[in-house]
Amino acid sequence: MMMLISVLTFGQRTLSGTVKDAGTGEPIPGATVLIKGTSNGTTTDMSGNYRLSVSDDDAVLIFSFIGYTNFEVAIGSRSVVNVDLQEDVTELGEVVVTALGIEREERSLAYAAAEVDGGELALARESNIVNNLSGKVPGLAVSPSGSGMGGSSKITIRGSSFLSGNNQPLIVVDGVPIDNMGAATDDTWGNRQLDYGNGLNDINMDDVENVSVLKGPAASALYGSRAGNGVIMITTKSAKKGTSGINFNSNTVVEIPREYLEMQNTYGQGTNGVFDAESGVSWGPEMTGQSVTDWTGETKPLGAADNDILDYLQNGVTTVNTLEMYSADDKKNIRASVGHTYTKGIFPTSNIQKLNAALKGGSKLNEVFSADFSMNYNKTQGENRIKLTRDPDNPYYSYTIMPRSVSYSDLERYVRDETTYEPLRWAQNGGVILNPYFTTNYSTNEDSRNRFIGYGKLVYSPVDFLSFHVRYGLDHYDMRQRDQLGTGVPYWFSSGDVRQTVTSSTETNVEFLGQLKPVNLGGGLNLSVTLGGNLLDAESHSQTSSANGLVVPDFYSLNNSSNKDASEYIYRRAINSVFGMAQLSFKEFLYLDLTQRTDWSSTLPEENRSFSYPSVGLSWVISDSFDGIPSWMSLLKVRGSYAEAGKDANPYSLYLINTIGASGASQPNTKPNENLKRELVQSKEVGLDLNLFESRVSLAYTYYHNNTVDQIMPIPVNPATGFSYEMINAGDMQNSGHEVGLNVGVVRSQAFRANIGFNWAKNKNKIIKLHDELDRYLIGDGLVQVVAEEGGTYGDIYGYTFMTDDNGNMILNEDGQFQRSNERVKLGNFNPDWTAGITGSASYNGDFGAVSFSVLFDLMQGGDIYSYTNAQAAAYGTSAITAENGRGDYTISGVNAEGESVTSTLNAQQYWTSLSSIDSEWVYDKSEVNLRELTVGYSFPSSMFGTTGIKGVSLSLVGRNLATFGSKLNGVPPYAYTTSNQQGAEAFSAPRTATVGFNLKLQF
Amino acid sequence: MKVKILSSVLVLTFIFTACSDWDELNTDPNHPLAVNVDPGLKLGSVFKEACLNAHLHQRVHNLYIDMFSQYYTGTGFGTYQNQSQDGWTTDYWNDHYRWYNSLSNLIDQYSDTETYVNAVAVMKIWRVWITHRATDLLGDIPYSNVLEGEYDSQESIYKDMLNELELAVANIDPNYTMFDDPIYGGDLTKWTKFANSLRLRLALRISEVEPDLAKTHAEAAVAGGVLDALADMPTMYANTAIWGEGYSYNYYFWWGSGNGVGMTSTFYDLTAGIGGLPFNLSDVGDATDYPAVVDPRATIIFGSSDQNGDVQEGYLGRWSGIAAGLSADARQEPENFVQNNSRINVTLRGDFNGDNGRAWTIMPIAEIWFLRAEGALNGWSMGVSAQEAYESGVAASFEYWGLGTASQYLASTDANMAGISAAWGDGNGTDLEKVMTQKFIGGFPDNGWEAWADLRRLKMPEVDFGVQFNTNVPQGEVIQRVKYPSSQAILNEANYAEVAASDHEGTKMWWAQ
Repeated sequence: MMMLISVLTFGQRTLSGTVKDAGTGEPIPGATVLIKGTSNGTTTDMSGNYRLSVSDDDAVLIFSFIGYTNFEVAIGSRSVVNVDLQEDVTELGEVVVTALGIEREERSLAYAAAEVDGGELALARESNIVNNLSGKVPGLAVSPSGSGMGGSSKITIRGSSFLSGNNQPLIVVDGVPIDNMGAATDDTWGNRQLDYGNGLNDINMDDVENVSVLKGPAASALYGSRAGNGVIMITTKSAKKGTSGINFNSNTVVEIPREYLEMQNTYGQGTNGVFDAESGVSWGPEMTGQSVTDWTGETKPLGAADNDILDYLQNGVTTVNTLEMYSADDKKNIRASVGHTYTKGIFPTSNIQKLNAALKGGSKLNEVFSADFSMNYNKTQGENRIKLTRDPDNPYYSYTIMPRSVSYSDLERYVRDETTYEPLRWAQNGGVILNPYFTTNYSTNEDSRNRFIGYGKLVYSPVDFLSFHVRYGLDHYDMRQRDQLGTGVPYWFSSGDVRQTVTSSTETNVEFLGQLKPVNLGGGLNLSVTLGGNLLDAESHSQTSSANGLVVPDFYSLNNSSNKDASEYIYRRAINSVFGMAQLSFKEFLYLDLTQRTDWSSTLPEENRSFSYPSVGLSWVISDSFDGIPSWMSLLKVRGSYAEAGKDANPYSLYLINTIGASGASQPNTKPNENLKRELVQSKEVGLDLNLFESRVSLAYTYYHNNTVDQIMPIPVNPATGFSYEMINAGDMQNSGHEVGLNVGVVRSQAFRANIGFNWAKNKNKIIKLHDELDRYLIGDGLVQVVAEEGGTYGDIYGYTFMTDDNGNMILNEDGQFQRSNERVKLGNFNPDWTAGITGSASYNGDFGAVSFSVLFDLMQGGDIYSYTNAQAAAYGTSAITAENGRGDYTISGVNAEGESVTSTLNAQQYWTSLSSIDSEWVYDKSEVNLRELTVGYSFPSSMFGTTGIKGVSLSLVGRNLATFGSKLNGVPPYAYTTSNQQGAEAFSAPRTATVGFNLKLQF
Repeated sequence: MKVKILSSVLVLTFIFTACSDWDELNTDPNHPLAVNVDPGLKLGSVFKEACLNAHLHQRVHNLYIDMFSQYYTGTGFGTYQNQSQDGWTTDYWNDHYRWYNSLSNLIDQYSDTETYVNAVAVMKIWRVWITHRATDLLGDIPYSNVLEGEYDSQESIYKDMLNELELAVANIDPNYTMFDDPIYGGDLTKWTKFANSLRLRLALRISEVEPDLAKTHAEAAVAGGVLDALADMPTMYANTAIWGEGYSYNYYFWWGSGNGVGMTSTFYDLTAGIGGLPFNLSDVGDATDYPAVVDPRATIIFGSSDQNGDVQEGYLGRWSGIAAGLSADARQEPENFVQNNSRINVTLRGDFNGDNGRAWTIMPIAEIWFLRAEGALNGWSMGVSAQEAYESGVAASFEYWGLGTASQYLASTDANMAGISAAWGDGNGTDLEKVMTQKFIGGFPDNGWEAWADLRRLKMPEVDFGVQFNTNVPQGEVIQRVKYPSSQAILNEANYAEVAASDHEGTKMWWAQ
């Protein structure tokens, strides 16, 4: 009460000053200067200067700028206050971009949010932005799909919420939700599945200002339906008021395959120790240079040469060059950039080219009207992406089983019989196994995508405290994907084929928003209100054509066939929404947030079409609430929130359709449901933020507890009904967990700074209820099953183990070999127990310039995966473990079918072949530590450039994925083969690669 | 105030837009609504899928039945060891009841419509067709009350199926037309003969357990007219160039572990030495190791190991088969690798790409003759003598394979490895052994279901079962059935409890007691 009165009674005077970067001494244009406890403030001009009216000497100014630590200072009686802002090396910025792009002070947020600076991501970049987030945001898990270059990754935030369907967050670029695509397939046969990468790959890293991660529905209730899994918001760069310049950035990295399955190099092609040039396995004799006639028909010494996948692969190279210009004054701002990316993949002949052009700007016409817009164009062209899992064209598949005496140079010399077109390979009975050079020469693929992501926004502010805007957002792409099987391919159409899919997809969002800016209600209360609406309209058409069997050999055209197929798929969805948001604050230390949203979705039946969901959040900055809080406690805040997010069904889920095929009409397996209603995520979270010693130490802790109820999913029904599944609303799945972020500024002198960050997250999932008729739900079935059982945990892996009797004795078969159990048993769970990231950074500023250093480790503890690569390599006798005892005999004991104790002696081939079918033997703990990122940077002193016009030059050496520690998969990376919910199995994924290179930035 | 007005305008705007035609937006533009699809179209797929669903054909027809009946073999699958495969059975079970329900719904829908009388009759005949397959695979299954999932005894199912066939034939009314079905194109005369032939098959199936009822139905069926001409043979065209529409053995040939579709030693033993005709080298390409005398159909069906691109050195030129029930050690011997033995001949599998586009046999004409022969041996009135029926069956099979007259073959007293000859009444094998041997050979390539049924019912022809891998099945017997899908114990718990005790591979069919 006292404070309020004092604010209202004193008179006004003018204060001025300059804001500079504490490190470089450069002025900071566009920094925010705010009088604490009010909405009064200003921003600095191009030279970093500001002027501001203040009303009393007790006022405290808050200086803030994105990328810098906030600085608070009591003005006292001064009329000039100059401030040096410290660059914020922590990952959690103080101003956070929240839903609908509204920037808010983190102190007012009732939920955990995380923000990562774009510059930091761009330095040691990967082709996929999300891979760069790995280890940086507690609770965000990134799993690459194992397809290597340009491949997609699976992202989950705070675990998986949905039993069926998508568990990945919504991706939003400049407020425009975009299609993130991916490689979601459970099909382990490969079947020509290619991973075309995530939609996010279409964004040029050099255009990214920052990435905000809104973790739960609390953070994302205002994005509606699709935000139930959280939101990753990407804000592209724009010109800051009072700045102008030109930047050129060049980033080149080399991708070096560094680790794959450990192989043996002692035993060659053949069986039972005898060489056989037609054998598909590596159970042959010890290779001692003895003369043999091998599969090529040539007689030469038997040995292991040129048989390493790392030799077959090439070093990849990615070069990104981006030129940008930006300019902004009080009225207008514009930024434009053009970027070109060339990636040569590690798989010979594979490459991706990207062209990006971005334009973003705004104009403040007068006090009443302003407008801004953003346009991002991307063109991506890819060639020879790798086919997944068990597709014969997957080079990691053929490598895994290729006898160790077969060399890549021979395969390269003998690719195809040019008379019969038959592909040549080491064993004709391995009918589906291809020579990888046949793949690169004949069974090729290519794709191209043109994409436009952008928005235009008109703002109308008739009075100070009110503003309205209407905004039109667009994500449109046209995509062509073409792949062929070469003439002579030993399956499908031996004369070869061509298949092409053309897709055109458009999603528009029209948003209306009215904002009542914070108004003082008296008594220390401030209220702001936002009301809005959104019209979402999504439509995509895709058409697949194929030429099944070519007439003229090696002529790859859809025209070149007498047997052509065509099919199409049209996707349509519309959601209309209204929403409101109110924020009530009390004396800048207590904040209450309320939101409400109602959606009308086209995919639900009329009576359930609309659904509403609220959220409420409270943030209490304790450290500002009482007198007598010690000054070393910069911030103590507690927060709590409850939020819901509803989600609609997939289109066309309500009514029974028939599919038309060559034999007439047939009914689908799944019975639709005309009474579906929305599914709902209910989220509770509480948290604590503590900053000590002028934020040298900052700690953030969050506990969350989410339930996803009324899930729309197909449950198995008695097939006697004529259907195998029925779509219903059911289930209750719970995720709860802890997230901790700790940041310590070890040294913070003007010249030298060092910082250590640590984050940790643990998620616990529990299936509370599935359905009255159902206590086990199959999430994914491929190699092993991933199931959800009532009372169990999402992601339990089920597979076969040894057959045992009631006393646990292994039952051997009549040949004394292992037998697999009749029933599948639980073998593990794919979710890690916890994940963590550790960052370290240091910088030194001297007359010679500035040097900086940073390192990032990420840690994963627990979680299991079935490795098909290991199992198959054991069956084929190629992996190192199969040679561990010099191919000697193994003695195993157990009981026979009659229950009598038996001991049997198996040779190595019998032993490993028999063992390879026991799934439980090939399930591994995924725990590992990765040295994810290492950078060393140097900025030349600006004094060096004098009048050359150059403002700055900085050079960084960057490395990513440099080393892995503690992996237990014998060299195979623990990545699932898909981005679907089947995350329990690995199959012939790409080797681990390290990338090293440099980044050069020129500022003019 | 302003806010209030504006927000109400906004809300109103949305409520109005929300009233636009959402239903149309959510109507699938890719597939027609089921209510708009002509029933005849739905039936087409039930006919076709029940024969040729590629997914099931590979798993159930080929890897279950053909393996159990020893029509073909390949050592790489659990079914070689007489084991059920839950996933396959599940898929079959689900599809079977999808077909069953589609048919039952249409039958209910049209049974009171006079103009659909023939369509309803044909649908009932086809419902019996799919049901006899399902019960022969599994035993007791839900039948009379499928929605509740109650299991009916195989005995009651068989008796009802026989009645259904009788009624269906009686109801066929030539005054009305029939829809254009994919088997007979709406030809009611052929459908009548097919229904009677099926009735004859079912009657013989139960001839051991219900001889009187069997005789009644068999004699009525023959009196009503059964199929006897190749031109009337029910077939389904398989365009194997399109994956999913038809099944080519070739897919298994190339993709399967154990490299299946190999010849069994049972087939070798049954065909080597019989019929007095020399081994026809031109059928198989190069061969050096083959029986001097062999059934002329055998070389059309199986080629020599030379045809296998993956044959190992030292095993070229073999025309030979692999024994059932080989121990794991014996399976490791190269001489027992499918690649080193005879695989299905290129004339059947097409060269390399599976594009063999042949008509798939639903019921061979030869089988119907052999059914009549067996009936005649039982003393039933089958319109012909047992010998006439037997010889007509062999001749029908020769005709099917384009071999011309069978008279020389039928005159031969040369015996096969089991001591059975082709000539009637020469003492080399009993009459019934001759009939069942010819029924086995004459069933190729598609009639493995019947061969398996005969191995269970009559244990004929005599075959070597080798090592018994399944402890539920006695040594020296064929696997009797496969286990129900495991989902029954969960989704149909109460009903399943009644059959759970007998749910193993050794439980005999009611008709094979």
